[in-house]
Amino acid sequence: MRWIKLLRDVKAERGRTMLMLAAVGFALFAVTAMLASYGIVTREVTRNYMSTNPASATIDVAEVTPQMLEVAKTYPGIADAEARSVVEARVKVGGEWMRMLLFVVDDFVTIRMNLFQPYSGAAAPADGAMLVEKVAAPLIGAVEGQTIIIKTPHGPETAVRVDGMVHDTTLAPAWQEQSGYGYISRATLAMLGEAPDLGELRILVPGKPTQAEVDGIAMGLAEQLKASGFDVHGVKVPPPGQHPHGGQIAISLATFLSFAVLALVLAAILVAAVLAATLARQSREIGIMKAVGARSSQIAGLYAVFLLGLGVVSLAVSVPPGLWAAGQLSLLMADTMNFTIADFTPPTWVFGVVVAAGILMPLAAAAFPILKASRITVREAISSGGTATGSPIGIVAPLLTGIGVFGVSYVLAVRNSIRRPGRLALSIAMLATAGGLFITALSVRDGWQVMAANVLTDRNYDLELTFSEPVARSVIGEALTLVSGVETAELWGYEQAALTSAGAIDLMRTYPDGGHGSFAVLGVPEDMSTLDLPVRGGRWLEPDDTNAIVLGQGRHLKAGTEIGDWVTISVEGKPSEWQVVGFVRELGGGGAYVPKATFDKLYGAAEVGKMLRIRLAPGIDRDQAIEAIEAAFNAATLPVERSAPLTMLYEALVGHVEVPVRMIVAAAVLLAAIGGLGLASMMTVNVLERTREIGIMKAIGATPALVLQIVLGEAVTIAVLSWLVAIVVAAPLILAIGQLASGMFGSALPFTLPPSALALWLAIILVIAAVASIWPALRAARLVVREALAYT
Amino acid sequence: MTLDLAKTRVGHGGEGGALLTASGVGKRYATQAGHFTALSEIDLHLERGAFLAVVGKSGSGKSTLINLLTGIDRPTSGTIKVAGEAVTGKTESELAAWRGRNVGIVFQFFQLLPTLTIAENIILPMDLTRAVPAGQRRQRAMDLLSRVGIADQADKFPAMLSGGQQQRAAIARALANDPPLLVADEPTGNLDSKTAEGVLALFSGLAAAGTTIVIVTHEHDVMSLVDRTITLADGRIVGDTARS
Repeated sequence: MRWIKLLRDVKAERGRTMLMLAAVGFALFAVTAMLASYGIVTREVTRNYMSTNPASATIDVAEVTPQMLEVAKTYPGIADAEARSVVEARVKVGGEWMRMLLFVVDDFVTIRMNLFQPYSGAAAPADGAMLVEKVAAPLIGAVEGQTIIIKTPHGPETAVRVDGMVHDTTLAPAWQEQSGYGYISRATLAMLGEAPDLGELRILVPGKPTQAEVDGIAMGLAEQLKASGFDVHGVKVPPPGQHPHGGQIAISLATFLSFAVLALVLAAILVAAVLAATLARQSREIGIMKAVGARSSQIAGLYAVFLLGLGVVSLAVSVPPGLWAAGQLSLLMADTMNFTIADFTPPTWVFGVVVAAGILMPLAAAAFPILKASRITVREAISSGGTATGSPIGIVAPLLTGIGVFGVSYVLAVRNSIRRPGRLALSIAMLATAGGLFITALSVRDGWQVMAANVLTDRNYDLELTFSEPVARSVIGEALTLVSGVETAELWGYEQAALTSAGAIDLMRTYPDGGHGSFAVLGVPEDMSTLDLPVRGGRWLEPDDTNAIVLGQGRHLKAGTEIGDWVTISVEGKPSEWQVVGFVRELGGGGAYVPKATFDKLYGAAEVGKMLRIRLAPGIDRDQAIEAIEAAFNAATLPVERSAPLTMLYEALVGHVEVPVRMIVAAAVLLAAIGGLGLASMMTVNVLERTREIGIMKAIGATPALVLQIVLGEAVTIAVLSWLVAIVVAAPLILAIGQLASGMFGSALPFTLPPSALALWLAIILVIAAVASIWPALRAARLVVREALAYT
Repeated sequence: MTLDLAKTRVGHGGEGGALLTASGVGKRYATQAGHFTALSEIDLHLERGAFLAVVGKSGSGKSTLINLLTGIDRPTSGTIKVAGEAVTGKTESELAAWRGRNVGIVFQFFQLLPTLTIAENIILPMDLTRAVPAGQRRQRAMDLLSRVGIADQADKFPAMLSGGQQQRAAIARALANDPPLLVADEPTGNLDSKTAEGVLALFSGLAAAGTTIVIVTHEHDVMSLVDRTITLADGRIVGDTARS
């Protein structure tokens, strides 16, 4: 018979039951979506990466020879070895040049490591043609069967036909890197004007080796090769079995997951609150049941079964849409991070966790109120008058006595908002975390813009050009005679170099395509006037310097060098020794500064250079002048490799943080939406619990509009509190990120809390609060006084 | 204890004549078992300053009657006028505003808002109706609390007060806007006899000072204090006794 009572209670209390169902269902939906997408994405990312048979390590050498390959293949612990190369080139897109990474493959048929999947067209390009990564194709305007213009550092502009598209799941999306990806043969590399040598020896360590094991084997091989007389530049060992963006993806999903768990905790608290209210309402019935023989365990069992049923129904309604959302989220991640999903089925453990959460969470949350209610004595239950005891707003009450000047209605809204500290803390935690992220992202962007603006003051030129070959000063002077408005044209020495400790082989934690650990060594002309970098340690170059070198702050820290240390720089395998005399803060490229006279002796010749910096006369139309200079150099057939106005450098620096900023802002808004749903649940329960109080207010003169205003005011109070906490959360985050920049660029990002960001987040959070509370507020406003007063 | 309402009245006092008129008032509810008549053909006429007790068994229609008189519920037939103004035909907002200015309600379980201090509970009706200038509300609340004898409890929260003190505060709140009509639903039902005596004495003083009071009660002792007693049974007035 008691089960019939249970069913009828559920029917009679369907409003409260639906509310609990909605709270738990929403939380389970979020948990399912996040947990399942976490399971799917982490599994698929690893599968994608491992299916490419990634090299365990890459040894950079001058040229991989057959003999070297043989040594590597027979080296203990190595299962396979292969020669590859990556060449930095440029592709012409709509008249402008864009970065293009060319992956040089010895044989497209027998390729065994770092595989890429054919997507369309030919599986192997003909000599003189190339394959293009499918995501990069639209960025660089590559169309199958048509040609694109490629220029390598030492070759001419060459039209290369696109024979097919491939999907390379180990690369970051091209749009993110702003770089094209092409796959060519050695013959094509030669046709593009570069030596057809392969400079990367990729090795495969079988099984599931640890990082230390791979390090040991790769370094051992590198040392052996070096001892055998081979020119070894460095060793690159990425984290074994881990996709380049695996950690990033896992962190993103884990962050979302933690918010889903927060939503689950909030739902648990709401369930406990609603059930406690129901139990209080039914205390007399419980007393009567006990009076006729019910034991405490039977009473508790009754409500436990109700909660089990609630969990089962919540699971039934929330898991299917949760799985669908997980699929969509995984697909979005896959598109964003350039990998494919072969199987959308979540791992089995996901179902286990979700079912456990759905069944146990409501039960665990409501255990205390159930036990308390079931143990009530018949006398207590029958005589229960329902009067409140204890201070409703605890120790903070005295702190709020001063707010009465704003009106008692406002006092009510504020005090009601803090009445349930647990719920309030959770709601604020969710909204404030979102707000903290949002404010941090916009503040760091602001700080970065201020920092990036330094390039405009540190660099006193308008245009920087690099040449693929050294160009004589006289040739440049002649070409520039046709251009008006050039105030200064400074010829610099410029070479790509590697910085190593003398006699040691560098071990880098980079992926094969993640760069070469190389940087530029710049020969500074004696009368230089186009650069004024702030010195952070030691001094700038002086006229009498010969083997002195000034390093950028980031490079100094990375290399662990100090003033007075001697460093070895390798340019195309040719080492030279330099003494560090200073460190400078530099943004946007550069690397190591040495006197041009010494540079010329080592790497070039006097009166020639590979980099030109031009300052235009004041009042000149810069765009027109730059266009005229490029036209003049083209007419003179100068081998211009890159032409970069200073403003482009500034915009590139500013634009560089735009993608992460937007991603964080999007994440913050999503989290705020989850927080908003939590707030909506909380407000609904709050209004439900205060039904009688609202009835009293209406009985003594509160109009529906005023009740609406008070409930909205409560939500707005929570929103404003979360906004204040968000600022407190954001401040140390902004400082920490600013300090990170200090290590990279020589000075911390300026600490800013832009009023526009604070105002924008306040506006967003107020809208969310208004939307979240409008339904409960309307419900409160529409309460019938007679029914509200009779509510228990 | 008596109240000096000359100090607290805000705008309704002093006039003579009928304050409350109910003509042919009835209330029917639709239930699953069919229609249920809670009140039928109630006629009532109260002068200003009258002190009326409504008695009757449980289910006789007492609560329904006071819900109708206070505008908390609407009659299905008949009309109710308070101070010449028809209660029926108003919107929820209009009824709320009307109640705030014209009716003070004292509930059996005090029904003070737990998140407001005692003084703030008294100020709330003044805030809601703006019947008292903002600068004078606190002082008026303190005056009212002094008159019900709990001024020293003004800044405490309701849960910190005894039942008798809470009921005194509830009476002070009912008087906040100096309404011409005060309705009390079993105001002593939850109090011990000594405290109940004090509360009833308060009502006597108020009635003597010109406030019209309707009190629903089970306590027969009240009858010696009131001017008139009506008895309800099955939704009808079955007895109407004036104190001699």
